[in-house]
Amino acid sequence: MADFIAMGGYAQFVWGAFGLWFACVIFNIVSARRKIRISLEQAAVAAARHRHRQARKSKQDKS
Amino acid sequence: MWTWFHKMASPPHFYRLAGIFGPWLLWPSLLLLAIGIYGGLVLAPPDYQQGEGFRIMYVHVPSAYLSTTIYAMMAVTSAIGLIWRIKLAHAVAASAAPIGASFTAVALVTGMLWGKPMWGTYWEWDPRLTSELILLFIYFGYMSLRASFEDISKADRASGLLAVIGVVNLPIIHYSVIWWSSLHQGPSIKKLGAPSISNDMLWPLLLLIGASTLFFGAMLLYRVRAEVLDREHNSRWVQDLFGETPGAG
Repeated sequence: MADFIAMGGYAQFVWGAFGLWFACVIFNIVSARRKIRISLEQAAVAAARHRHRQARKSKQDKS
Repeated sequence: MWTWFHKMASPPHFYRLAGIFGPWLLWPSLLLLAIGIYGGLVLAPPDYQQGEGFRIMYVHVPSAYLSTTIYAMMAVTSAIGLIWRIKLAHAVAASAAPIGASFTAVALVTGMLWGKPMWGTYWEWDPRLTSELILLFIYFGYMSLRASFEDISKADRASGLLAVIGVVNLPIIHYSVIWWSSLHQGPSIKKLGAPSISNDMLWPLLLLIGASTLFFGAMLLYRVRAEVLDREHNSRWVQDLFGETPGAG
């Protein structure tokens, strides 16, 4: 196990490279999910605003 | 064929499909990445010259592969978007950019971490390294150019043009190790002819390259979905997604 961690003396380079790669994978997942969440929220807000406008318009048309 | 093409390029259809296939692509890709990493870190034997240090290859090569493949895809979709005025194609290119930039940065830094123990230096203004750094700058330029426009169709046109012009850098990256004398080694896997590394070192690398591609596909679907929603805010199908429109019909 200690041998595995030592990576034949290249520990900081090997683990640094794998760590960075792993961080990049996680970053991609987190940022993509965050982006879709924000877009869904904004689309919901836009749709609600649109519904609101429509409702007001039909009310005005009646009166 | 053309009706199929148009159906595929229609935002609501793509939005629905991306929502289904995104997660279905993500989880298998993560599983395959984990197997590949285990293979590369544990199962592959140490290299006779570089010892355990060669294992950096298993994250460096797939990242470098993604950096250029994603750019090539961006250039093709941008060209499609410019020529046939397909907005979805621009949305795909715009969504691919941050993913490509992140893996380009990883390719550069893992390359530096590999270079220090093997070449004795983190950085050298070598053709391969320099052209890959230029690729990173093109990604950044593409993204900041998009961000500088308020009008999304202007952003599409300007950044699409940049993506198409920037494609000249790809053959430079690819052939840099052949055209100029370079510190960087030549390719270990060739499309034609036998690879220059042994099978027990090769399979984790090929698996990681394949799994990285799937992972990119999944991330792209997530991002294009968001991009399509942003662009289609005011269209009927998006409003229908979020509850019925009163007074419809």
